[in-house]
Amino acid sequence: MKIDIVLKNAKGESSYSLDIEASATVLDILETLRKDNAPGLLYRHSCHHGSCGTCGAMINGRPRLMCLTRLGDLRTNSLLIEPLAKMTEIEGIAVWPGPLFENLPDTDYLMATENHGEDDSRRLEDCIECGICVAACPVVKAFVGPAALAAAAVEMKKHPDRAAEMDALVDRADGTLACERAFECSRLCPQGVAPGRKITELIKRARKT
Amino acid sequence: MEARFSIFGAEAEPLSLSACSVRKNGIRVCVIGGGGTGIALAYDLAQRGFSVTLLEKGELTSGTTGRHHGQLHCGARYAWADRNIARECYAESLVLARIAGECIEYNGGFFVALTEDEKALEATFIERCGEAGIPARSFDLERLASMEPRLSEAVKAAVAVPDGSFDAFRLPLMFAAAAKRLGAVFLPWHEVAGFDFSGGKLRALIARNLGAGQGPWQEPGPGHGPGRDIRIDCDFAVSATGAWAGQVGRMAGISIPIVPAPGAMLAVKGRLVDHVISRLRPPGDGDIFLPQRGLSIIGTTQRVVDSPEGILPGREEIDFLRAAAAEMITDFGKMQFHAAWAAARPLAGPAAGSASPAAAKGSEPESRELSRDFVVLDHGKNDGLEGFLSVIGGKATVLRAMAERTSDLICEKSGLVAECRTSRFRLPSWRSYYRGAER
Repeated sequence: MKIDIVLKNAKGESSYSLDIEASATVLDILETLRKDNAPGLLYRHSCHHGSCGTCGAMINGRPRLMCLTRLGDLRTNSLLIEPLAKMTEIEGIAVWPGPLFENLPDTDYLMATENHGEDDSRRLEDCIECGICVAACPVVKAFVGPAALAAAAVEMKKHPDRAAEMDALVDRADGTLACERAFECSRLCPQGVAPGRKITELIKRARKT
Repeated sequence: MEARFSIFGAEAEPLSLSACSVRKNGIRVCVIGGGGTGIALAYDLAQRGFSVTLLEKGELTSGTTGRHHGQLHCGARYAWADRNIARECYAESLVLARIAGECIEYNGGFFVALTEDEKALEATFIERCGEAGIPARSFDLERLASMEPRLSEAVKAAVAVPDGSFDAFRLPLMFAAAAKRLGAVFLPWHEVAGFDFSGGKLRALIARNLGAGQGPWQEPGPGHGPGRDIRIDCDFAVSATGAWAGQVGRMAGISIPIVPAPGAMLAVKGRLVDHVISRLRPPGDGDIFLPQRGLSIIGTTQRVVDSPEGILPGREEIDFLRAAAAEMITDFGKMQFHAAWAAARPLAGPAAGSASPAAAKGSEPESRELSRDFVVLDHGKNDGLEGFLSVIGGKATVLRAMAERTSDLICEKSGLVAECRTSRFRLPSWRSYYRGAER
């Protein structure tokens, strides 16, 4: 299919036209553009299958992972791609995700799988630290963000001995108090982590104690 | 000396990196390429006292490394062909589990026989693994069926091995976080634009800023700015650029016989197994199936292309992988498609007259055999470009070992004695790579 692409950042924008299959992802499109039309185009990417969390961007105004967003699913022939909101713009579509990682607490990133009794299999946590939830969040005042609070909620459940440490983050003025319960985080999380629900649990837990 | 308590079957706990002292030796090394090999090398060199600058034209791990399916190889896959490679994989998988356990699902794996011919290989396979020091044993099929109920009913024999899987992005990022903490300078969004070999020796490398202005992603320095070429004075430059090694070599005026050989991978939604599943037969295409978070991944294939840029998987590759997975996993065909992608592996090119990276050494008279699996080419000896080296080949599981051997060679060429300590320290969280202050 023929598509029109606009790449836009704080410094300006550039337009391209491309003929590509509907099954192509937005990341495939940028890879093709960089190879054939725009060799200097910068964007973050690594795993190409929604595991690393590096390729978040604003696609037609919504934060999404470029590697999992297929043209066919967008139902449009025009694409507007911008750097992921709330991160530090570098150039092109590339951002520095410092604002996300500065707030994320250090947590145990492996969990025991629940489906097998015979051996104690483990797997990595669902959250891929992509920052989509942070970019999606409409809160404009100081807020540690959904990713950090969701990580704290998971950590407390796994390691109750770290609850006080996690509470110190959760109870800050820019912690759960700053959440406006728009649930955009849960709606757009590519991994179904449901940060909004986890924040609600944290708030309920605080009321009980 | 590293303390080993082998009589108790355990080794000393790894140390915290904050306990690592570094004595600077004043020698400057530029590492080209921010994939697993280059990043691990930056850490090893920084720990041995070198002043390290790493250039990567994109984000770290945006070339081949990040697109790896993430199998932590215990070496069993290679036991058929080469027990040294197998032995090295096993040793390194144990080291990584100790120093980077945070991003490894160390759940073990099974090699499964689906045909009578494959079943006939079971005893030989266990024996080969044993020769390489890898614990492999025949596994009860009924028990396997209860542990992995989605495995095909056609499984005729199974061998348990200590395989695992890791996060292909976070593992190298842990090495990057460690390197940064020890003073290595990372310059993502910078590509090599040229070399200064005046007087037959490397004097400097020219790095082109691809558009990144000043910011937390790079150290401030003179001359930094979009579109600017920066001269980085250095004593050594190591190209750890994998499938891009030929391109970087050409820039230095030499021919390195490496061609990009993409392999495709396919992920479906649903974690169908908890262990790495491999076919019980010598390595080939479409014979590795592994879990990754809520996904299942099947790999891989191999073809040869002209350029490592912008490689997408072909439809035939995806169809092949789907069929290969369906042989091992019941109902695989019904699972929802998640993603398909391709990664450009480096392959020894026609000039080397062989089809494996390891064989590149055969055609390079002065190359040094550091392992059967990867080589370091000393372009000083081979091409008169003193101070320039290329690391070729290897696999993600042995990234630390590749860095150790390359670093050993640089120490030797510098007349230095500095032992490798990378296996002794627990790596810091990948998250700290993206944080301004140390945490």
